[in-house]
Amino acid sequence: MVNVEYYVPGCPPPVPIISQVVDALVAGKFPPAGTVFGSDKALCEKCPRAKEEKKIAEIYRPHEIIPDAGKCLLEQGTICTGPATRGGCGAQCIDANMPCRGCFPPPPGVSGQGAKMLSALASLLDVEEEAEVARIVGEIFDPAGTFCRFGLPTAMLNRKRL
Amino acid sequence: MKKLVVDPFTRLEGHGRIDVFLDDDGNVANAYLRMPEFRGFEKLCEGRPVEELPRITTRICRVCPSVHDIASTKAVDAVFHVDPPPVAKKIRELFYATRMCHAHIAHFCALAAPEFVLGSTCRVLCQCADKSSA
Repeated sequence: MVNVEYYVPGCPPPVPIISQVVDALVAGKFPPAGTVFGSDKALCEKCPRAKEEKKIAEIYRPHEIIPDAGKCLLEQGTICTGPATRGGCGAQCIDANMPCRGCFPPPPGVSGQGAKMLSALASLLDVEEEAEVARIVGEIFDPAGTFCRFGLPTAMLNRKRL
Repeated sequence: MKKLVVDPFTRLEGHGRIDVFLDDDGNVANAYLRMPEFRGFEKLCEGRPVEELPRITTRICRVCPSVHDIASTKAVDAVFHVDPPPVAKKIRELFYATRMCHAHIAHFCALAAPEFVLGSTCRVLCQCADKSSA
């Protein structure tokens, strides 16, 4: 196994992050090994969209809805992986009214990005009946690919880490 | 018949090999371009949401993501049986034109310039070539 010195997150890594890394290396100011370039907080923490603690009853795919640009994408029923994803990316997707896809790693302390996202989504569902839960969950097309879009190799789903 | 082999050929993202066959007069009789890599993108696109595909296929190559985006978007158009409005087509064309700028910069600065600047016999570059062909 090779130890990873630094993580340069993103798919692709945003230009400001790359220049941050190059600047650090050129200046010879090496951060501690294992440093992830980016924020230590979830993307949601800095998101300018208004959160209304609203519950959702329907899940929409991006082409099925034009979301309100000022409101939380998750509360409008699109699967935005902001709660389970580290910030520092510049939120270009959110700015373009597209939900976060989770190309940055999860915030510190979160081992499973997909599991974290699933729990964030479950807490927003406005349902009581089990059958209704099954219906909404059934609306999520390709859940493994959606919740673990970039992190499947290390996801809890395949018991790589528990 | 003479055979010329360029292996690996550089200045691209990934691995490639060219075999050129010359006839007795020294003219090209036949040529093969081989891309021996298996990426598996065809397989990993199966079962994914159709709107995801342009965003998955752009990961095929970061030198030329835009062409994969356009190709995939056209395929998705075909799935939905839609013909995009003129404005959308123009935006795509603009996007495609910007990719020309991006691809030239990426190709020159990241792929070709090291050989022009450091020379094709540069020790570091040769080591890289050895590694990529191994």
